[in-house]
Amino acid sequence: MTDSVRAQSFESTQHQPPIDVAEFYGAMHEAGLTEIINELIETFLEDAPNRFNAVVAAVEGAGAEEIKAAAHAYKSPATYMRAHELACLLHEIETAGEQGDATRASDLLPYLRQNHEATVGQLHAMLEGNGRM
Amino acid sequence: MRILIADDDRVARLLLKTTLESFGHEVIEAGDGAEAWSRYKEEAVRLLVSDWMMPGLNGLELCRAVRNHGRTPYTYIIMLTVLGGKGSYLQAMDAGADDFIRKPLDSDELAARVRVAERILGLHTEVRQLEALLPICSYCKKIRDERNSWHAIETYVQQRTDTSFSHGICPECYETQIEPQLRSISGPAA
Repeated sequence: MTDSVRAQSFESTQHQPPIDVAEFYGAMHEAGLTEIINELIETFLEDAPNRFNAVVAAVEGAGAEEIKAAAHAYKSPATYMRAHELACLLHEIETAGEQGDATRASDLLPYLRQNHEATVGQLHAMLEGNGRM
Repeated sequence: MRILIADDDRVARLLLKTTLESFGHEVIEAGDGAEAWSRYKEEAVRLLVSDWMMPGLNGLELCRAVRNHGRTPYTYIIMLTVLGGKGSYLQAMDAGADDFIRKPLDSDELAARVRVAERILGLHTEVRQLEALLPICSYCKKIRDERNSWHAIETYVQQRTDTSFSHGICPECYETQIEPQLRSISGPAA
């Protein structure tokens, strides 16, 4: 996939909910972990701003290793929350960091910001729906 | 079983801890590799489940530190990572990991891997017992097991190994035990 095609694919999915709610609840139900869903969402929401800011700071100022490490650190919780698009963007930024391609990482930042905000928004809504907050 | 988990991602740790506790295990948490190493030295853990990429001491370095420490009984190590590929797998095994699980965790897969870990740790314990000094009765040569009951040496070994016994008579016993009996049956020589 070329960069422009990939960027278009990130743009084209912006209208979709960032979290695959059915998959997330399904996985939690299957694992017998439904009682910790709210705690899990709250933990993600507490950590996500720092994780996101670390990626931004790394892309804007630091070296390739820092970009790779910061993107990887946010990718893990995004993967667990079934925020596939967010995890995919972070993987792209991590790969860009690995390849020393700071420009590519920088190009992806607006998509990351948009997706991060949408993910956080959806998780807040899920908490409200579960009677929390 | 007491399990140490090391992951800098709190979401992953919460999931892992809750899942392992639901299997009936006691879980100790560490937020990075350095903390995990410090907790490992303080606590008697049999299983370490560690993330690969962590700030400071990463999973591979933690793995090497545990193996170099050489603690007994053996510590089983499962590496947890979103990294894929044969290269990563081999790197983890070379560092001393026993198993490898991909993120996001599947609870059934984790349950199966932990059961394998328990089985292997059980075998390690039995091997250590066999290698250690065995309490043996000075008269009948029965062996006392870990539950304080006494067993014939054949039973004890057969229950713990693949060994089968083929019964024979050594030359010394033949001379002292068998020959006198043969002589008594056949009567005094004319």
